[in-house]
Amino acid sequence: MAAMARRKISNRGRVLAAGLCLGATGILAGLMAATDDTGNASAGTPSGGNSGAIVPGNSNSGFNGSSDTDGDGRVGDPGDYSGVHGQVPSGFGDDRGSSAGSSDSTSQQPSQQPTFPQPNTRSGGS
Amino acid sequence: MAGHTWWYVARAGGLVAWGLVVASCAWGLLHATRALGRRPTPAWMLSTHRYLGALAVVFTGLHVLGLVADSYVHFGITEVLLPFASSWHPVAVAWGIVGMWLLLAVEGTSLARQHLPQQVWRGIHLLSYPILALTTVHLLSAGTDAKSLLPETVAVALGVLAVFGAAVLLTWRSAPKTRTDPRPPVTSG
Repeated sequence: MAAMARRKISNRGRVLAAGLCLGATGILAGLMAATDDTGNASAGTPSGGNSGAIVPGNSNSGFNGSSDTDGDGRVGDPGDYSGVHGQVPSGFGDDRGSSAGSSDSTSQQPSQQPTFPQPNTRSGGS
Repeated sequence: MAGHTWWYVARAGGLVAWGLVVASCAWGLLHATRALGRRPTPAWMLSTHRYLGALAVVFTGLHVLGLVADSYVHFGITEVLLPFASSWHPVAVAWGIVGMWLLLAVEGTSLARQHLPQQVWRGIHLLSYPILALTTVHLLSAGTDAKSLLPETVAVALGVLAVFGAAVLLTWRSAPKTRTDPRPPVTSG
């Protein structure tokens, strides 16, 4: 029986072959993960984890620098950044009031009055 | 990356299973033709051939398990067990499913060889050649990794070797009948 077993593939050979196959599977899977494009292809789908990416022009991205939020017709000016109103240095209101339309300046004046203490800003806007 | 682990395991397992099917067929041919002589004993060749076949079944199971567990290509139990049940490349997937069932038939009849007539076992065991062809077609048509040139070249080369080996096997088996005839006059003389 022992001599017969020696003629067959040994248990060490079986473990070696199985380990070799498992190792090959692992190496292949790792290479595929490192170089494959099919796995990344689904990353662009809605469920693929695109959340958090900053999309230009996307109002939900939290960055509105390229949109006209203050309604003055100019994109990208300091007034278009949310939370910036009220921190604009003095003198800026004069410039805006002179270039923007009267409807724009009047609609923004009540909320900006406490933050612009200079009296000439009100007169410039109206 | 982590979400596609099963997808990579399924693909890698399928490639390794295909390689094991090829290796098992090659080992069976080498065993049947005694092409390596008597240095590796026939019992060792046979047990290695059977072990390679068992490993092919195990890694085919890993391939199927990975496809079911993966979320990249949505496969259910039905889609991986029944041909043409999947909407994703149904014909290409069907080759692999048929090959899987034939592989299970060959492995099962080999395990129950003692309880089966020799002709039945041999007839089913010869399905190994269609299995090799089906799994190769499945690899080349459905496999994501068949885009590269290397698997195609290797598959064609192995297909040619399998056909050549089968021809050698048939020739080898028919040869001893002609060689046994001249012996009696030599021993009597």
